[in-house]
Amino acid sequence: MFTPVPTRSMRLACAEYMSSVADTHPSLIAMGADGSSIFTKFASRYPERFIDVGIAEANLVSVAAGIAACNRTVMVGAIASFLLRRAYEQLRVDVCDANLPVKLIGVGGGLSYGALGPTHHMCEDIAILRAMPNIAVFIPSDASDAVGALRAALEWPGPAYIRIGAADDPVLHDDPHIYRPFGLDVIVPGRDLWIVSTGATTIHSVRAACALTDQNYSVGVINAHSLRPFPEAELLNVIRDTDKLLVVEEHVKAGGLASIVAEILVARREKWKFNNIGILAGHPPVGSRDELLHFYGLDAEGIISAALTMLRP
Amino acid sequence: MAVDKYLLTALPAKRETGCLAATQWDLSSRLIVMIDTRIPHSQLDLPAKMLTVDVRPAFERSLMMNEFTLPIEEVEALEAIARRVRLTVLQFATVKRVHIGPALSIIDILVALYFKCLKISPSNLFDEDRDRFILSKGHAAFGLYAVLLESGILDQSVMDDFASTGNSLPGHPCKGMPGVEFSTGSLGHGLPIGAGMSIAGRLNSQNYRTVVLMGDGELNEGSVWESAMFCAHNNLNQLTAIVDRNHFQQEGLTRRVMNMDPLTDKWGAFGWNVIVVNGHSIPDVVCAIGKAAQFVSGPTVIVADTIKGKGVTFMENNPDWHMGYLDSIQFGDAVASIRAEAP
Repeated sequence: MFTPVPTRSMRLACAEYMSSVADTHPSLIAMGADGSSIFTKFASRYPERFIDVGIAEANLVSVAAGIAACNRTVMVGAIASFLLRRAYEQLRVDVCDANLPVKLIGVGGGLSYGALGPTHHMCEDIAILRAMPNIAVFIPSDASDAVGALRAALEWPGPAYIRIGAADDPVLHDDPHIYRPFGLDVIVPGRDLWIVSTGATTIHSVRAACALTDQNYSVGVINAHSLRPFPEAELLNVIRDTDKLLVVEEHVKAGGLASIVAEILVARREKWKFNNIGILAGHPPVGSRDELLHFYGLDAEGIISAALTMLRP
Repeated sequence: MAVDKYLLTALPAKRETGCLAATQWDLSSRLIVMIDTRIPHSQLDLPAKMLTVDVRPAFERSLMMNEFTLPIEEVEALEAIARRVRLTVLQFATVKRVHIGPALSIIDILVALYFKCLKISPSNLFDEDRDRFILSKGHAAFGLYAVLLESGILDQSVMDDFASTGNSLPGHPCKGMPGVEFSTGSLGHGLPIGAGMSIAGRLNSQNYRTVVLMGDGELNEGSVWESAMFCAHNNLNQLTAIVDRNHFQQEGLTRRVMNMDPLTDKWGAFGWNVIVVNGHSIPDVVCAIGKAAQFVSGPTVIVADTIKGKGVTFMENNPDWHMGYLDSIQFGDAVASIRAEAP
């Protein structure tokens, strides 16, 4: 069984990367709302290039837009739930409609803040951002992915969003690995069923696939780290030899990765056995991220169960 | 109607020197008040502790002479432009319903900005050191369009096809139009955007000015005050906010819908320099904008006392004309009303 032991903080990995590009990207400005550990190192080296707006996300996003309109690239780091829900309109009107280079790092996306409760969860980021023009969306599965996403976001000409975890996350990839922006990351090949996952559930999907191998099922795992633009043709190519697809995501079931994949499949008018596991909108119980993932059937146990339902004749 | 020009500044610190001190602007002060003697003080929402001194017209010129004082010929030329711009706004309203009242209240401010104060012209729209203007109260779009037409930034052809489907003049300004820096129309966005542009100017070692024009109803939006804190905290002295204080919002008097008084106190408490001015006196507005740029400490807000629907008698202070369409008889009456203001 696949047992990844080490963990690594996406935040710290991003902080290292931000510091490393501070010199090579002199136009970069970093912004936070009452601090941002992602930019601590960057700010200590270039204090004039870090702007803290205090606890004011709406102001944060509009100010970022104003700066970005003056030949600067702005990295914004803030707690994902407050950033996207509070500043929705500012993001839509001032940043995305205007197609400005504002790169948002949403800290603590998904259920990452666990027991802090639903005010701090952000399980609708894909749905929110898919409805906005121009913005690229990345959900890395580990720290190495996060750095790849950050690099890709900087190269993307317009706005971008990266969801990262709040605490240490399991390491999925050897570091450094080849990160292909706007591509798919096939972690485990398979024949009988493909699991398409994004973010924190990818490691659980890999565990599930390994366990299912012991039961003589060949289950593949695709890490879909780039949600928008989505690598549609590549997905269809990877899954071409199977007719069973299970989408697993730490996101509400509506509007996320499952919706993206289902839209692609329906448009092809082919017959698929399709299922998805995600979060039900509503009030979750109190629990750590792992406990909540278990509650929603998004851990290896839940994924195995959903996969077997599709695999058994 | 002749425009009364002027008046005066009065600063608590200058009390002992009396009104003659009005020529000496104390730029270390947080508050400057320019009183137009036509406006009853009770309408002006002045802070209780503020000393105000009226200066009678006989003393006006000698008191107000400063580097921003305009020759009378130039004042009259700018006032003529404002009348032409108002007529253009009326023309728009003969084609479709537009936000006419909120547009007419800002015309004199826009004319002061575009024809005297700001470095914005058809030839520098893409220069990095151009001044930035954000019409945060985007619903006054047709006031802005009329000024952009008058200044040559918008081509006259947009007027010709205004009635056609797919014409180029949306009800709220859209980024990408000539002379429009950002899309506005959702209130409370302009000040933080302007703050970003202003701080970028500092980062880029450029000394352009950024001016954001807001409505007084717009100040209900919380994002304005988030941004007000931010601007003062970062000492954005190259940023000027102007509040079009026409005392009305869509539903009626601001005082009834959501009272923002004491407004100058609020801005002062947020760390801003405050100038109160008659928003229909172009030379006063020019002077206030010029003075605002001289503060070395803090951002400056100009609270411009205005009249909704200014210039058209039957629209003035009438919330029914927040948005409207003019039939030919109304158009004739409105044009006559504006022409009557010519000297």
